Amino acid sequence: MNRMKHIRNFCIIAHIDHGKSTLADRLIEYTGTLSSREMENQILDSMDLERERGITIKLKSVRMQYIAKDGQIYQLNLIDTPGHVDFNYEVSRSLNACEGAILVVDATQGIEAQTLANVYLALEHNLEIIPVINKIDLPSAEPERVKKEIEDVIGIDCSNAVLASAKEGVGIPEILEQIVALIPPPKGDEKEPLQALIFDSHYDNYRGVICYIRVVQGELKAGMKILLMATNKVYEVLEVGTFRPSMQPLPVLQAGEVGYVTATIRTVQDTRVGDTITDADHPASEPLPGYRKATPMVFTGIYPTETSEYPALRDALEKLQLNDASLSFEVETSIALGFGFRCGFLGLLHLEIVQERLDRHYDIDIITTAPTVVYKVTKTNGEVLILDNPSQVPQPTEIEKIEEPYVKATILTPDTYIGTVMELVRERRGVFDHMEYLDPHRVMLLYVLPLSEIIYDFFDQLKSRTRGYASLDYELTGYQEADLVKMDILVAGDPVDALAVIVHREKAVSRGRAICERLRKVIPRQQFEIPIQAALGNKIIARETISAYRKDVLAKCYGGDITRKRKLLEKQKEGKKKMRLVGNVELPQDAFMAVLKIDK
Amino acid sequence: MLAGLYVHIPFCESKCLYCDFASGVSSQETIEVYLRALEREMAYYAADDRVKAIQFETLFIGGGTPSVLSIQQLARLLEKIHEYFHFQEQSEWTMEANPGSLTVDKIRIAQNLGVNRFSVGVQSFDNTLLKRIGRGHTAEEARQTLYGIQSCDVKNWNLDFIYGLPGQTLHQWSDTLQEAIKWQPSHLSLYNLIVEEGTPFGFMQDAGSLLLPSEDEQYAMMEVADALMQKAGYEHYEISNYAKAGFQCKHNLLYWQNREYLGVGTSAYSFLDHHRFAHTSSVKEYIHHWQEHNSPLVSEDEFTTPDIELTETILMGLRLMQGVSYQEVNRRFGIHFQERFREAIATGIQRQWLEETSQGYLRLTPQAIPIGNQVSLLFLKD
Repeated sequence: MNRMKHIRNFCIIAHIDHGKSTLADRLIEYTGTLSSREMENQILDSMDLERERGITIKLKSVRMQYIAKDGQIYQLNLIDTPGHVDFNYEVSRSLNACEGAILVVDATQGIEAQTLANVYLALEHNLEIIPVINKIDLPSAEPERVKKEIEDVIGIDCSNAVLASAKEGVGIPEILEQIVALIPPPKGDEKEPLQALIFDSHYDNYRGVICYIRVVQGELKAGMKILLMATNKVYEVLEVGTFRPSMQPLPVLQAGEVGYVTATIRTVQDTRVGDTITDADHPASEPLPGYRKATPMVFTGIYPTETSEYPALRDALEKLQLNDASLSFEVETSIALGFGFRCGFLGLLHLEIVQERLDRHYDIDIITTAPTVVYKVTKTNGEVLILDNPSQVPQPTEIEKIEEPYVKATILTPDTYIGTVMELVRERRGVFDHMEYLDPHRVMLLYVLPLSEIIYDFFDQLKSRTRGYASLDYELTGYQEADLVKMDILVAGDPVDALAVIVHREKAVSRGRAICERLRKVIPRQQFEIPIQAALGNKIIARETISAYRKDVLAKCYGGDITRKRKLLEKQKEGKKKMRLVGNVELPQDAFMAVLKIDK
Repeated sequence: MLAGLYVHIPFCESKCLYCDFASGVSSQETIEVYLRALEREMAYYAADDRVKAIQFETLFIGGGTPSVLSIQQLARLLEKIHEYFHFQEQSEWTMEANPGSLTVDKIRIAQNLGVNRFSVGVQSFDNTLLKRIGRGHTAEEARQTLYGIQSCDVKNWNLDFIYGLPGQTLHQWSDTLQEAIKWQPSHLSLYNLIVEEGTPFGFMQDAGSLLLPSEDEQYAMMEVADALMQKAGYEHYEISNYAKAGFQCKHNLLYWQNREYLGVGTSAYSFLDHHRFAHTSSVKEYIHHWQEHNSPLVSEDEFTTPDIELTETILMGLRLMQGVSYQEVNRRFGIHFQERFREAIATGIQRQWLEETSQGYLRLTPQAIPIGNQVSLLFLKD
């Protein structure tokens, strides 16, 4: 027990831009874990993409040694958490690996919805919360207001909250002292059968999967046979160790400690976040509570722009999956787009990240169809279909009912934007639940609304209509029946499977019009007239016409123009190659996203 | 060896709002210095073995506006051309001109020194439109110039017109064409306005203040032009060009047949011995360069491969109404045209874009003329 007295496991909860990464850097620097020369800025966000977007996608941990004012040496384990609503489950697992959390709030901004959601999550896990008011160096900082807000909203005492500026290094020693003083040491017994929580894992080309773990009971060392309790697979441990922040092997990881384990595991599919590692020879009687398999909520079709790239796309998705257990994909064929994959994501951000990785790391040009949620369709014969692709919806006459997933959404906004936010949510079929004033000027609005309405441009709209002040968090509440219909989009008279959408009946006409109009703009004129129609069953509810392409610009063509003209035509040809021939009509990539991007 | 010679005069009395050619308004002094540099460049090429072997078939003095040169300047330039280059007998010598600056005196001097074809940029007979597009002359001045040409008994002359101008109506266009036909030039070039980036019109378009006729209206203008030309006995021989029998522009035909030419002066392109190259387009740089050096300042160049030349020969050839000759292409490139492009030809014929003539030519069908670019795409590699 004496050993554990000097361990502190904690995470940092903060809104995007409120300074989490900078604070982590300062802690690492101050404790001498890395010299400042070794410090690369913002160590914890090591993926380019994360850095560019200022968000942490993959969590990591780092172990620091800290000599406190009491003269004792403490082992501090900082566990990083993702900061986006798509990754809520991952957050809850990493919170489970901690006994405390530093709550960082921007002194110029106040609490945001996402922070609030994560703080509540931390409180549910009985974590000790240490409030830190950051960015006090800024002239617009209002630490007293923000402290009061935290006290009012979350109900935690802020009288001893550290006033910090991570950027300027202000308040760092105070934070470290509070970690030692306030966060309880871990409990557990190294003599008990092993129970270690997997809170993340990543795939390494040379060592296979590296699991990030918190040992709750017992101990873990190289050579042991381990059992992963959810996937029921047995491996032999190759190495255990800790991150400082690079990997450092240790002889043993004991109850209360955070570190990593490698065991020639070939895919992260086998090391599910939330799973429990136990000793295969002396297994624990039961796994740690709270495991659930991450379920994709948003689906899209991903197709290679050039059909010949299909194998490369499959390869890339497989590689991405090595590192991303929540990404799912299966082969799908579309009449319009040929061979591709139906991919499942935790949310829209997750989708965007995968899209960008395919583009950036694998250099594959893809066409993405509009994202959709998972619908439950009950047929008149009693059969229930779980559908993640609108084109699979049966004929209206065969449908008894359609249910769709709903979420509880929390929106925090300055009170001046209440009307704006309410209007937006109403447009999205939201049902008002209740409203609370967080302080005289900030309001928390709670709504129940369909997930499908959020995955379009809801977040962007919320941000732009409130000048960026409002923040959003949501959680899935279950399925509800709704008056939904499948809307077909017909190009030159033929329905295009990849353009079908499921919409609420009342919104079908306006949505259909908007889609047709958008398609008219993105589809180039061709040698014949092209009608674009939206239809419910056999009923046409909207129509636009793309008139025929009649003439080029008939111009001079002199000596110097020859090369230029050839190159211009070559470019046109290149563009044509990227189009998809549907029936007689060439559709550009944009067309398949048209259902999504509708001008307001 | 046969080829064409192009001489560029990059000066204008005013710059038109749609123009993206290398041209501009300059002082008399600059013009003088430019002409000295041009002479040095001509002397340089005249000494080149490749050029020495050439019998030039055509000369085209273009711009800019060559008619802005003074009588003395014009005379000296033409003398130098005679001095440096060998021409075939019966060669075609064209000089571009704008109404206003092309005086009867200049026409006579030019004629005496070999020019036998004049090409005048009238563009429109509507004063409102002329003003709107920044032309430096009126319709009356244009008519004055045309009287001049007729009085000098010029047999071979062309008029340039543009359609699709901002605010232009079908009616205005048809009036302009009818007047043009009354003048009975031997050749007419009817161009569709292209709004180029970086020109005043380009900026206006970006700002949304350029109101062009709709595509359908422009299509109608094209149709009206075609009908009027045909009625007046002009043969449509190239996408934008019409001529009386025997008066096709030989120099431009060189381009459309992808044959060889030498270009001198700023921004002039040459295509000699599978080498396509251009001189700098900056007058200042050009002058400065020739003051210090003894070889041309080439701003871009490309060695063409047989594949590129073949593609270009087809692209350019399809601009001609007679089309591309299977036999000529086969002889020039040592290929079997119909084999090589079997798929493209079949698709083109199936879509009624292309037709084969009994003389062994592949050409655009009448309905495909307006969409020639689209048709050309068939012949580009995937």
